Amino acid sequence: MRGITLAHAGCDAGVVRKLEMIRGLATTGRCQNLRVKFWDGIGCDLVVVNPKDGFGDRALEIARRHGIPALLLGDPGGQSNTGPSLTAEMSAFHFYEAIEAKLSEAEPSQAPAEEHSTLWSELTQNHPFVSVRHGVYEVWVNRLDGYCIARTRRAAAAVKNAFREGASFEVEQVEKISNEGGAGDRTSIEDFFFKALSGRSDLPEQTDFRFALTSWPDIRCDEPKLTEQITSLSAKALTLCNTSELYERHEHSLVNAFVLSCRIAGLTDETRAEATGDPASASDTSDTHKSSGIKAALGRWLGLT
Amino acid sequence: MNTVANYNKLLFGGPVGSGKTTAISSIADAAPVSTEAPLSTGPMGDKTDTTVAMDYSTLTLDEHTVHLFGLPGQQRFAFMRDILVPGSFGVVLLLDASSDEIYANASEWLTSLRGLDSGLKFAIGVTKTELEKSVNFSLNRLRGVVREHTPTAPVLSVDARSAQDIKQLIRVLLHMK
Repeated sequence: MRGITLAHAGCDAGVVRKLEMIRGLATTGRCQNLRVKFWDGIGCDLVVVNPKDGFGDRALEIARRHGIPALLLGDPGGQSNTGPSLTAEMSAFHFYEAIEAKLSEAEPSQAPAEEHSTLWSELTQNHPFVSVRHGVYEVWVNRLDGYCIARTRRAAAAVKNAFREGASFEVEQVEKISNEGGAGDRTSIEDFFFKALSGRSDLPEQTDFRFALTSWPDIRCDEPKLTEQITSLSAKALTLCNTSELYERHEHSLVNAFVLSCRIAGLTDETRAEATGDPASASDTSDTHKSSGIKAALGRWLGLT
Repeated sequence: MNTVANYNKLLFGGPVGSGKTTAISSIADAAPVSTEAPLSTGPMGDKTDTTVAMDYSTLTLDEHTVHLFGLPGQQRFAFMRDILVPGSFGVVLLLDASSDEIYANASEWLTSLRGLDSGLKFAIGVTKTELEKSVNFSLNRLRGVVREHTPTAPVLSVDARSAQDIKQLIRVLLHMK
């Protein structure tokens, strides 16, 4: 389970101590992996503020602007806070309960499997502009230019992370995507979704269709071993083949993420594969490398096996 | 001794400012021997010099030496392509995403190099995608242009300063049939 970062602003030492005790109290739920820190900006999942303190009030204003859930210390009367609240006199256990409740309220519920299949089918339809939203964070898929765009890195990371954890999403076809405010965080569609989906074990198997890539996927990877796998998958999928051939040589979860990402990016040509599929052409090219000394040496240098 | 027939040359092509010299520097054993001269048109942003004949360096791997050649980006030095293409096993073609000319440049370079050797393999690296000026760059439009010339040339976003990114281009080049 991903850790939760809780920030506090304007709280006295007693309140901070109770917040720090929560991790020890929690045996289940999100608070098991709670990290408590002093408010230093928006890099947190939840903020506990004392609105009567000037710094706390400022932190509350920023948190609201960025859609970060906030728990107010003191009597919530007069504040537009309708959820759980805290008072300094409450026990650490009550703090824990209130924080769990606030996190449940703020975080979209986990989507059941059938909702996921709807999500994939919506994402793999070829509408030019699609908005993918998780809570307040949004990413746009622009199939005309092949890029995924988020207003900020934080939004991109939040959506990617939510995908990784299997959280629910709103997917909506939109008429237009604005470039207002510059490029923001921009990466190829397949790169975005591959990084969001790789590592998940519950993705649907992509065995129901023959598969051919129309272009080499633009996936950037920092891990040499994974890079080699993606290169090999890309090369095989560029020639006409059945997805079962990809599954034979690579880890299933990796192939699922790869094929699904390419489908979302619109890089697959299933008609072409159906019509003229030629599994023989998808054979590994490593044998070809061995025939040439210079290429074999380069292959070893690049870590190709 | 390595000869042209050994296909031990790797070429780096692309227009002025696309990152060829930088890419060679990022993977070569030593700083490339360059033929840099001041840009006759004056500085282009941070770029004040350009390659007029070629860049050259080597990469020693076991008992083999890969000769890395950077082709000059300017059209008037295009005759160097004719000299350097024979004996190469592929071209890393770098294109600048912040340039409005990227699609025309891709077409021109692919036409020219394939005209010299129709069997030449390409790996295309798109550089500078992170720049504000690249906001209108379309990966899919570039893929369309590339597909008109060669059906399966890989197109990848890269940072020419990153050895890892340049290695990935060479890696995909080796995977191409």
